[in-house]
Amino acid sequence: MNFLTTNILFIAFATNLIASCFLTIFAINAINALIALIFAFVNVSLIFLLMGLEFLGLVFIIVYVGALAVLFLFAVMLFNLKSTIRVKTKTFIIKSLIGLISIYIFYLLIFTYHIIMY
Amino acid sequence: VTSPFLYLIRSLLVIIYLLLMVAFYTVLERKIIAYMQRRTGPNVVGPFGSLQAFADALKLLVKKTLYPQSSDLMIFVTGPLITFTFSFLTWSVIPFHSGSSFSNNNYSLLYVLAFSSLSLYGLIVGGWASNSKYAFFGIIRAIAQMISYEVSLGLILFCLVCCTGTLNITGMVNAQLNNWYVFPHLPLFFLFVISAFAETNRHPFDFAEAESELVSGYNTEYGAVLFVLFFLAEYANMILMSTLISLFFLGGWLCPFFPEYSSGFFLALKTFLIMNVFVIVRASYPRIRYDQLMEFCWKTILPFTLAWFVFVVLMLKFLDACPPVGGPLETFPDFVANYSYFKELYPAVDNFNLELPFELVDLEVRLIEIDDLVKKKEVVDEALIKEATSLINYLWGISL
Repeated sequence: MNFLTTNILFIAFATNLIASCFLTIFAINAINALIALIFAFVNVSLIFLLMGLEFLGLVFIIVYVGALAVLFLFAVMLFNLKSTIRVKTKTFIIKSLIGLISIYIFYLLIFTYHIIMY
Repeated sequence: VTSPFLYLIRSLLVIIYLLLMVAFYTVLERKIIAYMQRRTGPNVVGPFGSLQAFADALKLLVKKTLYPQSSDLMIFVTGPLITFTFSFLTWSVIPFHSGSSFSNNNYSLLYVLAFSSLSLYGLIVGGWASNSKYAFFGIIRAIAQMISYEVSLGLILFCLVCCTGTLNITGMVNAQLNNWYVFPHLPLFFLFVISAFAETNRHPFDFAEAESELVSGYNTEYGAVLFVLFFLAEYANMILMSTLISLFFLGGWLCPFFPEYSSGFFLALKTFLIMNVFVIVRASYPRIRYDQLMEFCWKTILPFTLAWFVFVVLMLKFLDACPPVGGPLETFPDFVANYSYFKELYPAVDNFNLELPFELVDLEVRLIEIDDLVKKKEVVDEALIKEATSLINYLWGISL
């Protein structure tokens, strides 16, 4: 695969990944959220495969998608979903604080990766 | 195969032959069961009823597709598509002869496991989206059963991997050149066959579609084209399991006693025999109870396989019979070597044709450069050789 194909594929997988992560968070139906989560797992492993980390990507699918997510689905399917109510406790400030902290941690992650690489 | 056009034709051929195989397998199944029950079976369409499958397919394809009113329509349609896609995608890593699969990579066994776990999702979401109690119970049973048996299936395969030293299926077959794994691993062979029955939801473990209890299980609400997809996937999975059994235990394409005559014909023959076993078992045994099935998996197969795993590893260790890392060197015979000069020094370098991690491409390019230089000059430069050797060692270490 040449550089361009790799980049295009990476952008496609990464877009899918982000989109399915958002779907996971915002889906009203729990099963739809889980299916989106599984799609996210698959996209992560596709990105691993694209990086040449074949073993990691395949084990990621086998462990997360093949075992973990199936158990999630199994559990969620047995709930009575209509009786679950969305609990609203966290205020907007706490939410945005958590968001900022996670963005900062993600930034640190990328920054340290660059230090290691170069 | 280099040209994309040829590649396309080759993949189409595999899919078409697989579909034909599924079609005739259904007829074969009905005929064998009929004769075991002193009936004639299908005998109207074509000679001896052999074209019955095409008549059935035509009937199903021209039918109107009905969707349950309360179903989640998008997921309802995606379910069969997922199952169908992944059950056919698995064939991309199955070799029909030494190294002649679409993707002959170091992890083809893991690909098989990953695809089989992904194809389960088609059933799950299909059965859930049907919004019917029968379909729901069907998939709940199917999930529990397939998850349990996938564990034992994987463990059995890793016993074999310990003896082979590679996850490449071609390598695993080539390692059976002198001794098929069915002989040293006889108990595992039987357990693998039983797990394969359970994994494909076949009799006597067909709880996912137990007719007497659940109408038709997870595909109760499916009709016409979508049902065809489920049906094809199920039978393709059965053929896949038969192929895997013959590859892992019965020596695949290896000809018994005369390895020089090995060809795909022997793989087909062995697969055909195992496929018949699937049918004969269906006609012979009644359905067992569900709790018996689960107990059999978790309390019998799994402990035994674990014990066998430990036994195999200890035997290999103490008899000093550990296989070479990366498997037998003839694993990649069909690869064209990039590094013609160094290939003679390092036969195992063939593995470099596998895709290297992105960061290592520069090193690989440098290696090809040195290889070209050495070939052109025909004078061996010590420094260059030294650099190339260290590069090879480095890359070889990483590619493991």
